[in-house]
Amino acid sequence: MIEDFSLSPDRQNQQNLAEWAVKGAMINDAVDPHPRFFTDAECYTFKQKRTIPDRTLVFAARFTGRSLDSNGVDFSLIDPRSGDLLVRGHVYNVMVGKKG
Amino acid sequence: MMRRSASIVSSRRGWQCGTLTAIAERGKRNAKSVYNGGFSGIYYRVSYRKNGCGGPQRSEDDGPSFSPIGLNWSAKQRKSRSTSALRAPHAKLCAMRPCIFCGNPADSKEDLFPRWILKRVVTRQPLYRQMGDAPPAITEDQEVRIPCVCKECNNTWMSGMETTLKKFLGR
Repeated sequence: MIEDFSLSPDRQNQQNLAEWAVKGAMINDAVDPHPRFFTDAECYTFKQKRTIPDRTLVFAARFTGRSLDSNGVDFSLIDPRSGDLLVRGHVYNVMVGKKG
Repeated sequence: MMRRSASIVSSRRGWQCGTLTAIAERGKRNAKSVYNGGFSGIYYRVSYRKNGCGGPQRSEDDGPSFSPIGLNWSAKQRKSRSTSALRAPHAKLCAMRPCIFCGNPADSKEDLFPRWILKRVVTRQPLYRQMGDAPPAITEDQEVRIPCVCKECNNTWMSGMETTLKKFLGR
């Protein structure tokens, strides 16, 4: 995959890749002074059962650049009428590419 | 030689500490102690939170403190001693924040990018990292290690996860 070969990961490989990505997100989430997104309970459960938190989605896509990057972005959705906070989310990206 | 045992179960802030047994020679500062968490050489109460993040904290002003045995130190001496004790390896272990996966002291560091990826993907560019609203961290060295896990987690299931994934991702 890292050599940019076309692969069709089976379900087990998809699961392994998703778990690795979530582990990386949890590790990166622990960097101070950023307030943590994942709760302790989610991290403990992930260790014990490899359970990916319900509020977490993992995507994989081809990256054609030449880069090693890691960044996370917090975002919020606010009700324009009341100003109430509707959703608070966090996106964590890890990019690994040796082409370009 | 005098021997004293103390069991500090909880403090006002809810931290927990195990049974501490200390043996000290009167008048000497090299008192030895045994801590049921595997630490040694603790002169005063050092605890870490069993649950939650935020890391360990000394608690000199929080409830009854565990003072050196056989020594009548002043408050200034105790403060000086506690500062130097923090530089000792055992105190450093106690001062670590908890592992994010199990709550044990985080005495290990996890690579942000596995080393096998760093060997194969040589970009010769600074590593750019940013989390949320925090200022971006740009490092020339791409080998970034984050001290947030314990050795047991790092060397067992996390290592196994990397090994498993390497077979697929490294192709």
